[in-house]
Amino acid sequence: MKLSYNWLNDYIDLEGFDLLDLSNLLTMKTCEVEGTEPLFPWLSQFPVVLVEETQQHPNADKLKICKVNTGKETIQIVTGAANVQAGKKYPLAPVGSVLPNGMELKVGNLRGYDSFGMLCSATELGLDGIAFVEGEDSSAGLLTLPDSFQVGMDMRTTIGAIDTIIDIDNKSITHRADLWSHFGFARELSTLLGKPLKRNLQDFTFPVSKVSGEHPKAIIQNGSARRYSSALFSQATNTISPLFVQVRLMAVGMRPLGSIVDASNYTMLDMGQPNHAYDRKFIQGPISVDFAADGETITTLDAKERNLTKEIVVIRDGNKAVAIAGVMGGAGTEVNSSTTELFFESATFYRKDIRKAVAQLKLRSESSMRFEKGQDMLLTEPAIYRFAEILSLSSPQLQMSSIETVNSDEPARNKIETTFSYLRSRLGHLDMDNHRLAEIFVSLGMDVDYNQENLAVTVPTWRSVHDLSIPEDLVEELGRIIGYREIAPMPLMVPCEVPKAKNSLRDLENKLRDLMAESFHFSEVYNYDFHSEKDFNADTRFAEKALALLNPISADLPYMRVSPLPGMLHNIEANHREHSDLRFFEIERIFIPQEGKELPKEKIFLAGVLTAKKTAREMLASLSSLLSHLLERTGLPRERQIFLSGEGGVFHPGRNGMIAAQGSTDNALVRYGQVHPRLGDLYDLPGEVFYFEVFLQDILPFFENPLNRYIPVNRYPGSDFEITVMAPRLTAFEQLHVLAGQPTRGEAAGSETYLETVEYLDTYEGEQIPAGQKAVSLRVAWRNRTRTLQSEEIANLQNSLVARFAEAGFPLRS
Amino acid sequence: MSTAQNLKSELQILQGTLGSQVQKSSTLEQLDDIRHNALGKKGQLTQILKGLGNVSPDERKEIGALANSLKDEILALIDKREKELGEQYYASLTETEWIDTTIPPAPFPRSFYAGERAGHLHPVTLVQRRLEQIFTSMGFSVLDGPEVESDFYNFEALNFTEDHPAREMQDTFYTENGNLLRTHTSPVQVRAMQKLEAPFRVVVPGRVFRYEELDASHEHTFNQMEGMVIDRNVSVSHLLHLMQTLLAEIFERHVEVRLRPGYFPFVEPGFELDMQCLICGGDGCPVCKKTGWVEVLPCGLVHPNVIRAGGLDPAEFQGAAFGLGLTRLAMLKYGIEDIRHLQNAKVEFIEQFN
Repeated sequence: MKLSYNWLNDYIDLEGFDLLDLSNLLTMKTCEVEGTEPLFPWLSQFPVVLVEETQQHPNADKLKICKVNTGKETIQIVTGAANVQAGKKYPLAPVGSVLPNGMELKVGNLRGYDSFGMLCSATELGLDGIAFVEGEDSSAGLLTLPDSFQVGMDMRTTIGAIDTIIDIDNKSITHRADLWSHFGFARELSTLLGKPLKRNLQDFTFPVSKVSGEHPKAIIQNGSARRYSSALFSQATNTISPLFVQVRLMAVGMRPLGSIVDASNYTMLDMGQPNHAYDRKFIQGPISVDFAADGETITTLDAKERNLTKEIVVIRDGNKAVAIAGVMGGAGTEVNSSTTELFFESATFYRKDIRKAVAQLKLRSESSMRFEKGQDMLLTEPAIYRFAEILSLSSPQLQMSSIETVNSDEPARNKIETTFSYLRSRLGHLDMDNHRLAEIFVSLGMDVDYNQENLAVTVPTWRSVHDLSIPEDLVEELGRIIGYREIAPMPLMVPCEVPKAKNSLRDLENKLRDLMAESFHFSEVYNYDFHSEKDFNADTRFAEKALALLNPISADLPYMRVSPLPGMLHNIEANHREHSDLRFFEIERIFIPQEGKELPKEKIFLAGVLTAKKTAREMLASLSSLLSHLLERTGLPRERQIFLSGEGGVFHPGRNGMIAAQGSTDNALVRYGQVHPRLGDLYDLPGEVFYFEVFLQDILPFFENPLNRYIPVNRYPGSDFEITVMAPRLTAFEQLHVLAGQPTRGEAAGSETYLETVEYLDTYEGEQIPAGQKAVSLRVAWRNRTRTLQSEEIANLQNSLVARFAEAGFPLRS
Repeated sequence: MSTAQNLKSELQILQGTLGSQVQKSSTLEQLDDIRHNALGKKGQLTQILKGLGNVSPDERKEIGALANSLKDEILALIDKREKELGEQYYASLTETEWIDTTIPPAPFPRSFYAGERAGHLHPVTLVQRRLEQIFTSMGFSVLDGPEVESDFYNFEALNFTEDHPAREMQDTFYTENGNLLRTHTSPVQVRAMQKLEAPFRVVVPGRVFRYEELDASHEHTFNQMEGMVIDRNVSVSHLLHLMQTLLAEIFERHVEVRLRPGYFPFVEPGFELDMQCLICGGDGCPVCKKTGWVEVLPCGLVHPNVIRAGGLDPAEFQGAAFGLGLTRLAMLKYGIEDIRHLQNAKVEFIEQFN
């Protein structure tokens, strides 16, 4: 919200206060001042000039050559403006000046004639909507200035724009309905500076007279408003507003639109009370404030038809809605240039109703912004007087009726009871006596009743609506007025008996991040949680349906992520043209909708993607080695890991694998492999891309209770046995492994001989052996914790293994 | 037979021939050939249609339509066959490109290909880790919460009533079923009170979402860290001390802080905490917009309604809470000029952080 320094001075004398000090004061005690800046500073460059003579340009039909008196000299200006006239005054942008749009004026030459500057329009000066002469359209051509303006004087001084604008961060006054006006800020400054207000609410008045015609009776139905005040006006003229009104409106970002609407807007910005002026002759019957019916419609001032619902409050004159309460007036009762009689409304609505209207209609206005915060009911009547005052400046014959007010609620003043010791204990160290604390509350407009320990505070009406209601609010008021600098920092002691809550998931994440980056040389990426239709369809292994967003950031990203894969493929897509050896990992969440549960299941994954100029065989070997190590380091030792073929899906059907924990091979912990070529095409990927994923919840049990155990070192040597068997080409090594048995470290073997290793050595395919067959070499080792193995026992073990292989169809290679 | 009828029957014959050719094709190359020979510029269809010059305009129209539908049909058949062949090809990979993944891998790093470049952690991760270390050393626990949240935890329990104007401050993504993407890490304040036994201290780092268009300084997805202390007799003095200590740890030197009013529905009183500008030492410079102070974080004493929503009695327990912008801190720390780099993995960006 923008505040005009001059305007504030209508209500409080700020003479002698430095602007920087004032904005610091507000920043430290009230709200965030985003900055201060001079009003229309560029206007200082542009003098008022008199066009003394105009002459048709000999070489151009549409150009005129003007002799222009700048107050200092007479210069030649060539203009294309149709409305230039000799004897009239206009603003001049002289050579060397810079227009608000950044254009710098240079000596021009238009078809052979020099032009030493430019006569300006309102738009070129950044003064859209300003008007000096009734009936003249200021948007067409040059801005014609009144004859009374002094030639040579700069425009900024001439129009009274020597002012400073203070920009307040709206968010920081969301809770302060009382601050949404110049009067409100003046009242706040009056407390902060200890200076009296020049004018307070009770000082607003206007002579009341008999206005012809019936004052429509108003009623509030179904608790749809807190208060409704109105008055009739006659002998208004809808003309141009006094210059200061126009300049102030423009200063805070509103466009002048004619004296009636300007006076209405001015009153709102001045006092914070939104209001509405209806053309009296269009109001048909008594006024009723009520909720609309579903399906009811109204055409608003912006010429749009709005569909209403039973949660939106409207103003009706008899049967038809003439305004959306607190949001926008209707087109049918709008004032126009011939309006002379007004029905003027100044009401207080409930903020919840206004918020609903704003949300449902997606329509916000300066008025709704104020009602949303919660208005002080006592503003309605002073605002009508203020409107009358402002309008009468341009309508000297203006007549105003008495004000009719109906209430359906009382202007409450909140009462807060607390103790001095409570206030002190919340603020902390505070060196100030009770009397001084009470005085602070009084300076804020509160009534205070207190003794040694207890105090009862009655909050003024303007701070009672959704603002000050509990002792904590008083703590804040005290703190800000005293200044938090006065409060000394004090350490908070931690009781020793409070143990920290363990977050083993975070410990696991950290462990995985270190392993990925330090040991495996992957770089961490963050991907968005949003999926496109393509991303969703690329991988539906974890969810057949994705959680849809009602308002996605863009229409092509409608879903929440259900798979880590698409994000990682995008990462390759974004980098593979510059780099061939890529490794990325991500630890984030996917969102799985769950039937019957309020929130989706959030599964935390570790996923990795990589490319390299290596063969697929080398890459898969690298990946399984990496993943096996990763599991080992997070609690699942190597001898408990089972290496399985993959399930295809998003993976190349012949090149993917899984690792599971022994005993639960149905639930793979890790899936990895080459990305399916179909996805490669879909995501514009280079050659072969490899991918893996782990869900942290799956490996967390091992991380929390690691299965890695120290086993005493075996002092006896083992016995290796290398063997080569024949197998059909597509035989998975797993089949041989199962026949050989699962190796252990002998921890439970006692004096029994145990299998210690099953190690793959080599595969041979080629001329030496039949087509469709391969020769697989492996090494097994047996060992005993109590003795060295005897040759007879070794021979038995070896023969038995050979026999098992042969029986299963894997004979020894001859 | 009229020329028109001739043309029609030629078209029908062509349709039959092409249909069976497509069905019999077994490679993508064959399909390409069919497409080219039959439907290409000099293809069979064009040849047949050369006869159109000799028929009446009405018949021409009819035959033209026939030719078009033939073309569409054949193209659809080719497409379908292409997909079939693709699926067959993919299925065949099971055998032709099979690599045995059941072989137990050699122990790391024996068969491990270490790549051409070192690994790096994300800058936000690095900042988050540092902060988690600082906080755990100060007796804080690290907590997490869901990113898809209910309206209750994100707003209602945090004292944003339904008609609260501050809801407008939060540009929220809503999901079907009436939930939303959390707009801050603050929902975990209430979850923490429900889960842990008071008194406690927690920090909650995590991802949050705001409905904002992307540009160099605005992201719809970023990271925050919420902090909360719940204890008996917590005061503004304590909050001040906590913030001062925290910032001294983060910036590794003594810092001057100041509190000024700030409005957030879940704290009362609420503050914006400013830190004396580290660049100019408070004298005023472009970084601090000549004020000598830099806005660092919002904080405050936990609103009694929030304490109640967490199941505690505000007469016994009070709280201090604060929010740190992890993304913003990371950008400050490393001087990252464009927030979009953070979620847009480029090797040149990521490899700069250690």
